[in-house]
Amino acid sequence: MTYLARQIICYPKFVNHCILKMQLTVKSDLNVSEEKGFAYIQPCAAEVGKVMLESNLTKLVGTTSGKIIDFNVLCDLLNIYKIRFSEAQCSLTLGVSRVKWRGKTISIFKKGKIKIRGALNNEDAMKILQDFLRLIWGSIICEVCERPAIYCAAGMCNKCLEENVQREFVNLDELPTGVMLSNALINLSKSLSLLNEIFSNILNGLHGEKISEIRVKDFERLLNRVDLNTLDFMVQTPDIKQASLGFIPLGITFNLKNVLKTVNSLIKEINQNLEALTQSNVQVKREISDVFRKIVNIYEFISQIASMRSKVKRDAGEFRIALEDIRRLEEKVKDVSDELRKFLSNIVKYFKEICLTGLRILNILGGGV
Amino acid sequence: MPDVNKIREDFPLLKRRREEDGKPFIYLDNAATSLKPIQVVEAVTNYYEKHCANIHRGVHKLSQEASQLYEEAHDKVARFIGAKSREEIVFVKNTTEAINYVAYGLDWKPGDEVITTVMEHHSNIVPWQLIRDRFGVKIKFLDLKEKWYLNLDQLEDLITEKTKLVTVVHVSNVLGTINPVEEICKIAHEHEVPVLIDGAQAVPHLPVDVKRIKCDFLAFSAHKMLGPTGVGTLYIRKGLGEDMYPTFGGGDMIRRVTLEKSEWNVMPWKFEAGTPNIAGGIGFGAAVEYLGKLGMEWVRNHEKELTKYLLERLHEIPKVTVYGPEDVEKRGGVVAFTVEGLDSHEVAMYLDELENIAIRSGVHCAEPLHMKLGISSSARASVYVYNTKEEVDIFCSTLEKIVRELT
Repeated sequence: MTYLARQIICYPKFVNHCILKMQLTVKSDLNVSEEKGFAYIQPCAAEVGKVMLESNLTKLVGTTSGKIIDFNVLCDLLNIYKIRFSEAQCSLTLGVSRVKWRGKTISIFKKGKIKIRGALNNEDAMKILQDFLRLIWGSIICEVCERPAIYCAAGMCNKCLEENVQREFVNLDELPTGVMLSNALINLSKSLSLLNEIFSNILNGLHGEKISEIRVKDFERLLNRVDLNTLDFMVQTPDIKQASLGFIPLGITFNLKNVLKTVNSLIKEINQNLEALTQSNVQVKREISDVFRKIVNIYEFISQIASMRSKVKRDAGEFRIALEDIRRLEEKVKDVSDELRKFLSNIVKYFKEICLTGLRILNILGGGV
Repeated sequence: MPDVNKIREDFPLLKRRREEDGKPFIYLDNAATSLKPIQVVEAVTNYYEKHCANIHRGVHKLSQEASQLYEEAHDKVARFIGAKSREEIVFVKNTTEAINYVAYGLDWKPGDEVITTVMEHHSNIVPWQLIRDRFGVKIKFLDLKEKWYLNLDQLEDLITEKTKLVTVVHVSNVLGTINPVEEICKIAHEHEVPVLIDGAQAVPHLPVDVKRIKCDFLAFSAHKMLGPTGVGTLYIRKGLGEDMYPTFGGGDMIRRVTLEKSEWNVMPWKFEAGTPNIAGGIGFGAAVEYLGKLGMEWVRNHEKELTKYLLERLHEIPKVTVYGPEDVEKRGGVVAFTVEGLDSHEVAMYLDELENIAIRSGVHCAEPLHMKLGISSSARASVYVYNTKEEVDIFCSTLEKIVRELT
């Protein structure tokens, strides 16, 4: 189990051949060869004393499937890290990303070619490639599930996260860059508390109060901060295995960002239908509130788990009960009046999404314990 | 009237497709080197397959055939530039070597002067620096005026009684500017100063007639005009070659050799020491023959049309700055440009990666000119006989996307 508040974390376990288990490493032996994924290192044209490196991600990773990078995820990751770049552009249309980082220009193309310009020497080129790969690791397509690595980390591919295995615990105080991950986990803990606050507001909304979106924006900012802290940790941690610990917060925030999207839709739906909700059947209103209250409770449990104040198994049970209630509610929606049916179906759909996402987060935090 | 689609069929490389996505090559790096038509490739292989022998050395049939093909190639090139005969046509390695032949062939004395321009390719600057350092020759530079043109008003002032040579580029490989070489020759000749023209970007693209220009030397490369690499021409006006040093000594450039001295062969062989690039020379002959069939007037008009369209399209793209004259009557098909926020090498790299488009990036061996323009490098697209408006469209729309998405 992962205890965010106590800075004890365990290595995520992934199945063999999952991209997250492959420990993406660039051997810095400078033995440049095309077979290993390096097309060449040569002097930079027009930049005297500097070198450029061309690398092929497909060969570096050793993947055999066609697609190597998910550009949507890549652009998201680079966008999170934008503050650390002197320039950054990521084009989904072109399938090209260009960043200026530590004095080098790095271009990455959707077919997996990476070009680095302006490195001081071969070692410098290899180092920046290695660090850049850590940044974009989450966007590399996993051969096991054929989805980007971040989906594996988030438990969304249903194939890569291993359950029922012996966990290996790490005390962050013992890691050279532990403080960065520590910061990420503290912010993650804060974001979970903030989510609970937002859920309380939604609960009030279900009783007819207009829901404010201010805290939702704060929640989004906090999640981005968690990701930034985590990416800092992953880039700067010398040991690749230790760096992979970053996939715990990254996987959780990836799920929480889905919750964020759903929460935005939910708030919009409720605020647009406040009048209809006020005039609706008391029994239906009560049932909706009851189901959502259960969801709120279980997210509170998640928050507690993260702070080591509760047990995972109990929460998983709560989720199952909540999901049952949602299914019952789904049935009942069929019987309500036409004007409320669409609204209620949407609400139930959002509840379900939030509930299932919660289960995935729980799995990341303590799956198998 | 030649049909571009028919012309394209002659170029095997244009049939090649990129492995990963089947995209054709869009070759817009013609100022660096041109593609080769099958006729040139076949002329080269025909020599190796059917006539392979050394020239001017054997009495056997193969040697005679090879000699004839090689000499005929000189004739073809002579006709192509309006030279009097093959005697004026020295086959060299390339334009750079041709210029060096002049540099080392003239009789320099300390204090002699050579006038060149700030618009030159390194090949017309560095040889003079070497001559300066070795013989104490002074180099003077003709500057620019109105951004893209040479300041001819300066020329009269720069010429002194010590001026031994004026050397100038006909068409700039960066700006595309077509320099008034006839006028330059006229001014220099009034002072009895010979003129060397760097025709590397002119002879492949314009009708060039040495009789009309009245230049003394003209240097150009085969590879930029559909011919093989490793061969070019130094045109030496009849009568001048006899007084020049042969630069390189050895086989074939001599008439008689004793242990004490040697007598030089007649022109042009005096300057072709050792076994030359026979296959290349024969291929060069095939290239000028090919261009001759197209007609250089047609070549020029085709490029003017494409360049006009290219300039119009480039001007529509924000953040793009184009260098060189606007008027296509005053420029060739070389179009240099910069993109705000992107290094020229990046521009070239993205065009290559995205749409298989080949352009040049960097300083194009014209660093002093780039310094003069206040830019560290530029990207350069250049058109030729096989390029089409559709290719210009793909190039410009891809560039537009790059600018929009990556700057």
